[in-house]
Amino acid sequence: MFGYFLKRILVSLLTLILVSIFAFSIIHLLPGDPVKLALGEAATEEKIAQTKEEFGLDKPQAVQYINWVRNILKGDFGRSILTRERITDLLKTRLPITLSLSIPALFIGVLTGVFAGVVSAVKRGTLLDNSLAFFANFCLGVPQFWIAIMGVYVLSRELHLIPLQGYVSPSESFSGFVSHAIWPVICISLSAFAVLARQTRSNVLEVIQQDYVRTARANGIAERSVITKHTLKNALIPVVTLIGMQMRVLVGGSIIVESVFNISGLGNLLVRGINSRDYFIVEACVLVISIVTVLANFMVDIAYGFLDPRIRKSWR
Amino acid sequence: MANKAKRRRPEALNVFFGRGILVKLCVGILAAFFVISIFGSWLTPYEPTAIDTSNTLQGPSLAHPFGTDALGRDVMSRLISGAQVSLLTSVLSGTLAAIIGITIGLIAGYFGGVINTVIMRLVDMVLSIPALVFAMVIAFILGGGVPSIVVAIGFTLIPTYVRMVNGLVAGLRENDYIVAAQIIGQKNRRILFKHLFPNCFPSLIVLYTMNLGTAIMMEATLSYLGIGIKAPQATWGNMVSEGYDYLLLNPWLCFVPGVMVILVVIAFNVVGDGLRDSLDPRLRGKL
Repeated sequence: MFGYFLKRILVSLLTLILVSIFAFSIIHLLPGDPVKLALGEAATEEKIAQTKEEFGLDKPQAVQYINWVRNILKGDFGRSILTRERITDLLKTRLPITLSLSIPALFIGVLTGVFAGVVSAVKRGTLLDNSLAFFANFCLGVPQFWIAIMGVYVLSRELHLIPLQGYVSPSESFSGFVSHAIWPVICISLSAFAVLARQTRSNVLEVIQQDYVRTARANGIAERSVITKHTLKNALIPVVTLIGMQMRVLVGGSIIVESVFNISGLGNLLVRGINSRDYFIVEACVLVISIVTVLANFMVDIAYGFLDPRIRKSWR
Repeated sequence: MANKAKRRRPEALNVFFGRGILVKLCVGILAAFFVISIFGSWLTPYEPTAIDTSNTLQGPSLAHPFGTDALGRDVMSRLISGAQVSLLTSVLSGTLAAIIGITIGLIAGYFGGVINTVIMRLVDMVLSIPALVFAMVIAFILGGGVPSIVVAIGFTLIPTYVRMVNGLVAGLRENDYIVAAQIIGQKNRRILFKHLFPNCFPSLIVLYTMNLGTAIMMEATLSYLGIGIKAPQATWGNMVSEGYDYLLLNPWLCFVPGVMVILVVIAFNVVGDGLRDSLDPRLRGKL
């Protein structure tokens, strides 16, 4: 288990380093002079040189990378090339907003998805199974921005159940947060629901066909106990690994939903950065989003290590 | 061998179409999608970008079956134009990803060792960045427009091929016929593309089909966010985005393009599911 932990830590660190190199490379991969593009046609040579010096872009790329990483480790993401805002401050206000949407979405998506998957597998071939499969397929095929907008039209305009747009922080007013966030969170969770429902269903079905489940039944163990003790325990462990992958999808979903509901989270910042060619904001957003997904994956891997007795009991 | 293939084909087709009305319906949807996209230029009743300020935000009528948008442009013509963009970007990006991803996957799986580790770590890196963010950044670097969207979406799809082919080849390369090919001194390139690649084919067709749906969804999302293909070119994504401003006046404008995306993406997924069950039953539930 110790060896397993160590390996997960090393893999996560390596991934983070690769991701940071990718994020850092964005500005250098752009064709043409990025500073000239950001400042516009009217900028003088002198102004461009001055800006380059201010942001350290005149130094060799390796030095720039090391400085960038060193500053980030100190908690300084640099400044916006256009507005000179401190990016760290922007991230501090925006990351919690995105997390306050994607973490509840992760829980809702995972719980409902696993539950639906188990129910479908146990009630295989029934109307319920078919409707759940249909709904999961629908969730995978529906664009999140579209379902979000349609929800606004029906729930907000026609039924007056939720506010049109915007966001209220949970520390400000919890009921305000719930009423603003409930539909965005559901929209974000749809894809996780669909993926987990399908995967859980097929895992449970695979385990139900195993000999030891048949033996348990033959021994006269109650059906409920066969399902919960013998089937689910084995079927759900592989599902845990999928949860880590879902965080990546959920952050993507959060970007879309933030754009629809005009919520100023991390995704909105990234879209703004891209549209205004504010490279350092783009780099910082890509890095932070990747750190979140790498961390989520890491935590899931650790949880997996505890849940899977084959790993838990091997002290290597 | 030929005889066996002949006997197997109708069986696979039977399994494929034997899955009920849904698969047939979805094949129909995809056929319509392909035909409309390919012959779209002759089918559009109006110029998709023609502005008519005397006929804005109209509901469905005989002259405009899906109404008109805020600039008086015919929604049906724009939907057809959007279908062309969707088909073009998804096929091109799917094919680009397949070519690159399959090659990398074959190399990683066949040679194993350090090459495999390096490639799979890079794949892990790409997979730790949300696909949407990765595509946004690539599109940003390349500057927007159809070619850059194709590359951006293609890059996000590459890991799916690498992972699948790598896994398949790792199992296949232990087979006797590969060892035999090595012993008689066949070149690695020949072993990769003549022996290993065809054996991955059934799974790859399934993945390719499903990835077309993923690509269409991705293109719509990028266009919705204003990062993909820019106005005045109509895409299903930017039609929803433009329609959102007039949601309360004419919800129809948002509704219809989204339904198009849903129909086509679900059709690709259902057909992919059907192909998987008929071509490679072992994969059931794994994709």
